[in-house]
Amino acid sequence: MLLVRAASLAVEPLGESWVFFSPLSGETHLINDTSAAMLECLDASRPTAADSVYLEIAGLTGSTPAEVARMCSGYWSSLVEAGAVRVMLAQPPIPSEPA
Amino acid sequence: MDLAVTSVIGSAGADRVAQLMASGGLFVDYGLASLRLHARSPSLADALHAVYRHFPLQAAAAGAWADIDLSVVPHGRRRLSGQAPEVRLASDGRLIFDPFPADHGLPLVEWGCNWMVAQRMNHVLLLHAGAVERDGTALLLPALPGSGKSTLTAALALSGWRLLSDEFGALDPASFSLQPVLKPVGLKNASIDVIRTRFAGAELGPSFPKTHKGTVAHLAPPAAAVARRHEGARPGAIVLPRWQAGVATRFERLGAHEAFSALAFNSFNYAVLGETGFRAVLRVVRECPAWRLVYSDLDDALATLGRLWQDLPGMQRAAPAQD
Amino acid sequence: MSFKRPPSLFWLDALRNPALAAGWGLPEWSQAIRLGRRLRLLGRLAEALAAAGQMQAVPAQPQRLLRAEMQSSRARTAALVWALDRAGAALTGAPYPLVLLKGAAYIGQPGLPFGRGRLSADVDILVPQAHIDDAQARLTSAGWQGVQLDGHDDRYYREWSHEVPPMRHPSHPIELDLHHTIVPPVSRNPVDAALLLQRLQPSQWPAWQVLHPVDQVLHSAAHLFFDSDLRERVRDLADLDGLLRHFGRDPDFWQALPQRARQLGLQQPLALAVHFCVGWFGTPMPANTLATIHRAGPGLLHRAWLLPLLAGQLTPSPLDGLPSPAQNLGAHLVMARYQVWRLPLRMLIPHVQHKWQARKARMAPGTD
Repeated sequence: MLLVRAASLAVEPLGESWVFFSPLSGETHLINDTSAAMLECLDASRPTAADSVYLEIAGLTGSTPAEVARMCSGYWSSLVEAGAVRVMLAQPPIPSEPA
Repeated sequence: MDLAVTSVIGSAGADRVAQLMASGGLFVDYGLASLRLHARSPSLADALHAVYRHFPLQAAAAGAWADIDLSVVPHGRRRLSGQAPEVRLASDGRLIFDPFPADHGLPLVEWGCNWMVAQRMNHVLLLHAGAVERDGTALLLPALPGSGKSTLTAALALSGWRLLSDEFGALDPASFSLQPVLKPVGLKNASIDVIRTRFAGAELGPSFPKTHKGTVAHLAPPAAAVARRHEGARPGAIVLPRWQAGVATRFERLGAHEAFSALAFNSFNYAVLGETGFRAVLRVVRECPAWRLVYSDLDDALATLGRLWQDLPGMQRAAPAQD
Repeated sequence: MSFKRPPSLFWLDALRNPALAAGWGLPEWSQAIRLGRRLRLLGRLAEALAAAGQMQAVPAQPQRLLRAEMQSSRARTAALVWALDRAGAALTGAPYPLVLLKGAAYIGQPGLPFGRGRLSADVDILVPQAHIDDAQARLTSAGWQGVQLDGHDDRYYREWSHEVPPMRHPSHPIELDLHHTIVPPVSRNPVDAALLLQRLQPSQWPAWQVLHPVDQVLHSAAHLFFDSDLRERVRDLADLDGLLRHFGRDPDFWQALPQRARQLGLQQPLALAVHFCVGWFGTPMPANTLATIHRAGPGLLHRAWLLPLLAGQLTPSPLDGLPSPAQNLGAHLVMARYQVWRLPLRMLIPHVQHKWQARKARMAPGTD
């Protein structure tokens, strides 16, 4: 799965945790360190594979990529729905034909 | 200003208020927003005379500006069936809200006006909070359900703090200053007697028993607060109040994320302000320390906040710009 | 021949020429803002002033309210765009066109200046009738849920009307309205949706298309003048004026407009639309096009009572009063005309009967 950070996403530290605002969705969410790290590993202009994110976080935390994957993979869909992350399709969509 | 100011409402009398409301309209300036009110109701005039007593008596002159127009209009022909007469609120040619008993005009007007402010004044961030000022800095009291925010705000307003608003923390993001939305403080049920008993000088209006929140009464904003309703104040601290019977006073420091939630997710128009609102709340919680105040003794709560205000400048010097 | 615009709507001219507002005093601003807000044109006025660099010159008190309204409409538009993004994602790969109608289409064509400043609560989408169940299923599996209707109303929507019940999603404040044609198929003037689908245009979003410019105008006219409640729908006239001005820069547009109206059976609403646009907005159009459109519209006898009735409905009631009894009565007449137009009589009676019974049940003692 290829992921892109939403353009103009504002991620800010807030005491012991983090908060983000997505201009895309208009939503504001308080997030934990894990989610903040996941966002940090993504770029707005260049797609990143989910596996690279797990690898990078594993390197920072001393866990294995598999452990990180187990912990993180469930969060992506919430981040997409909240407008923080966009999923790049592997193939372009089928062009629609008139009925 | 092209509005004739002759006296304050308290000394001009209820008849004068009734006269203005029934002709071109009564004009009220709350600071952030202004109102033009039309009505034919002696009981409403009496209530306004009580709770707006320190406001200047102003006629809504033709051609002058008002942000909000409200009319109290009679509703239905209930008198035939023996039911009590009712009124409705209209604004700009449209009816808003369900009917109220005709003798409950003041709560209707107060709630209607609050609703209008919340809908319209989106050029500022409208936090749902009480706001008072002392020594040039403002205290924000986020209004979580059951917090007793209004009671505490009223008590502060009667204890040497300047009332900015009991309902709206109206933050101008550009100047980072809270603007007064100075309206009579709405008190409910038991807190009416608490304030009446504790503060001999409390200027309370009539009680209205038939509202959907129980009995409500209003505290007239003090004269000094009315005089300064165009003066903003920079926020200095956030206190989440919670009244709880029998409990000893607890004053606990809160993390920035708790303060953020209490403000952003409890705002009238945070979502409408988008990134501007986000950055404004972020700035408030980074620059203003936050506490939870749990109490049963009102005097002890007031003393706690008084001490906080003495200590606050020292705190800010020691630990500027928090994360 | 054209009816004069009501004086209370003087400020409409500032929508297309914001510099005119420079001459307004506070009384004019008060009128424009209060009425503009009620007619849902305030955001558009604010955006027009801002785009023309005229906002700074507005007196402080009205300026605050204009800026506040821009904030609201921009937030609402962003929410709509996001809802379309998510709905589009749910419909990715669907083998049929996805068409935006009305406000969503205007927002989706950035070249349309009047698309800015809208306060939308819903999004209108058209898909071919054969695929409407599939579209609904895809949306449902992405979390969109149809608003609950009882069996009769549900059938009314699906078979008789051009809409399926609106869909909502917990994450979005915007309602999705799915259509399969632009006027009810059981009406006396059905429009063949296949003709519309042959001439789709791209929007700014790859997932979504819009109707051909001429069809956008005809849809807007039909939506307004074939609908049940015209009270104060000045914004729809303002949209029509905006569409005609923008697309009318292409001379071929004026040729095509009356022809297409004939082809789709929408000559009457087009004539009515043009009558009010020219009269109230001064919409420029070639004289011969205007003549052609008028000739194909309602006959003189029809016109004698229809135009004043519609004008009365469209005229806003005074700001410091309430809707007049005459306006309310007029609304009932228009509602009657609409029901007759929409449904063949045999279907009309059960439907009206049903609605009346439902209302009686709701009003029974013991219910809310």
